[in-house]
Amino acid sequence: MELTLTINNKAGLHARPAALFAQKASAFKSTIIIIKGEKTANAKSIISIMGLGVKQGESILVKIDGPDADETATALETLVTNKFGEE
Amino acid sequence: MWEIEGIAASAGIAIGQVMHIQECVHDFSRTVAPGEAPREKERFLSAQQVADTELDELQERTAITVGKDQAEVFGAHKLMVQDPSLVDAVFEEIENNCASAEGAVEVAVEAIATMFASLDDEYMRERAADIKDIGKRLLRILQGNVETVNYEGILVASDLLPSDTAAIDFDRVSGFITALGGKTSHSSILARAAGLSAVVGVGCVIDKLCDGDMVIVDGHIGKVLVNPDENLLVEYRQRLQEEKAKTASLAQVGHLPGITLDGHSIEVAANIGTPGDMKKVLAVGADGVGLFRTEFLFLDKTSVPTEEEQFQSYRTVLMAAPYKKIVIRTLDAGGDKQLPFFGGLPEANPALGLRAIRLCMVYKDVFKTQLRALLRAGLEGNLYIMFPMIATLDELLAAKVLLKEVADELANEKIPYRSDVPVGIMIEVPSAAIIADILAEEVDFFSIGTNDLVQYTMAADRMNEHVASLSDYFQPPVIRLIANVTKAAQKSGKWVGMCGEMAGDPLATPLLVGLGLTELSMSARSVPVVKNLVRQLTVEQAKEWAEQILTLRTTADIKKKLEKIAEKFTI
Repeated sequence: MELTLTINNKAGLHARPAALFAQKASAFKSTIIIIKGEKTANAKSIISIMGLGVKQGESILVKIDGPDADETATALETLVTNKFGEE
Repeated sequence: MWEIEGIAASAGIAIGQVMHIQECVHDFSRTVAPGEAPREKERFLSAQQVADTELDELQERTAITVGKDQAEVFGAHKLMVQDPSLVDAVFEEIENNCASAEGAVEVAVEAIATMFASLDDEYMRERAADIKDIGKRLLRILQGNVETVNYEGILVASDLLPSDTAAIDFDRVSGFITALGGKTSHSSILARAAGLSAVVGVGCVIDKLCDGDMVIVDGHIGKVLVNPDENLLVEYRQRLQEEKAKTASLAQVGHLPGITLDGHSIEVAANIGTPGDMKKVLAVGADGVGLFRTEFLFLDKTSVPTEEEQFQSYRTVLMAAPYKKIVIRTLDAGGDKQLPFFGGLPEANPALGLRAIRLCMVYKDVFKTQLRALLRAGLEGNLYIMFPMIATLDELLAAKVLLKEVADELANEKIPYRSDVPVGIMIEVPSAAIIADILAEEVDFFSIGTNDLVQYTMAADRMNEHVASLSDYFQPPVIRLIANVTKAAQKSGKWVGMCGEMAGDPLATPLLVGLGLTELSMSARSVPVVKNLVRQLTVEQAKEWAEQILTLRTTADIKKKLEKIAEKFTI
């Protein structure tokens, strides 16, 4: 399953949002990969996510593969839509 | 008993036990025999667990001592320690290259740090500092060393960097000894500000000091007595008591107005480095803050502090003394105060490089965030904004344009701010002192920073003990530059203060008052002494002395004259 998410919080996927994303992803069994341009990241790794250097307004492609793919997609989408609880 | 001689950097006596500041050791074997891989992996995993516990405690403690937001960084570190990317890289290195756990951590951390450093986003680049910090922690644990968190007693280090000192609790430390440094290096200035006694520049003899050695640090004469005998201890303990008593009686003078015998007001203000210093400022009776160095907000951070974080800090300082003048200096980074989140190449001459206002005009976003926070906080008290290291009129005008831009943005966003904050500059580059008449037309005030002014005028590195005699604010050219600045400012009707070391030297007070300075800002502990002296002076007499001193040809002559003047007063 694939979904495209646009990161709208102010500093992009910097430490705190990346940490929240990785924490949320780690709660699920599915394998989750993030693709941005030519780079690929393990969504359960904060370091890997930060390495993508995603800035405000940029989109990422999330590939989810596993038994709980649907719940994973919903959870991650909600997190991003809520701008990681900022503001 | 044996003795160490060094430079008397901060007066006062301290008696206590030696404690070395921890430095990272990279002396370990990087490879192991084939077949040891499982054992090395185990070692890594248990180091990871220890790091986890340490970071938990650190986060908890920092939340209490500094603040919840600042503590969050350790939460992020915790996640990074457990991060699959790090663990995979470490395991790969152990399996494929027969690396020891230490060697694997070193390689993995370096690779991740390089990856972060290559990103085109300033905020992301600074994560390299985080991962390096984690690497340092893991390496220390793997080598079986415990984290020293509660430094106390007499600190010993090769040099105290500003980032080290940010972590020190000055209530638990009474003095320090360093191998490097001079009277005006930053560690010495910090020592004076914190009221600690310090002997610096003692050389590699510090290696002979062991943790737990009993020492007397005599900051008056620059001597350290190691494992002294009982008689000496008794004598010094008594002197320590006497010093405390003398300080107590002088302390009362600090709260009287800073007015000369002929009725001129000379503000005797204090320099501060953190909002917490305001307690001391109020306790000594300072007339205000002549220099609030804002670097603390940036130094022990791995990321640029937010506008809100800065706003809260500035506000705290302004509200602590709403009717007193508070001069806040914008970020003075670079030089010997490098920040992890400003990239850039190592410079051959950092003191002459991209620092202070020059750096801020490159990282305009960071600068604008600070200016926004300042203008907003300005509503809470008597704020003055000061730009450091201005060398030309163009720099000053550019900084003012940016300030105006920030004000307009706040107005557009309907965010309340103070629109009439007085703006001044530090005079610390000789070029600025020479064109003070031109600059005076564009500012509300000047504040002379003697430490850099001396360094740049005399072309003498203030950290280099071999040229210490040149690094003297009683050098005739320095005094002539100061006279030039006050004359130029008076013509434009602007006031001149001083926030360098010289302002807190009671020997200099009659000269400075005579040259026309109306604000002297110093470390809080010097306030009572200088105020006591100001109250015994007349401006008329001081002017006469200043005129005479301007004709003297050598530093020695000037000091002799000032010492003679000092004899007339009780200091």
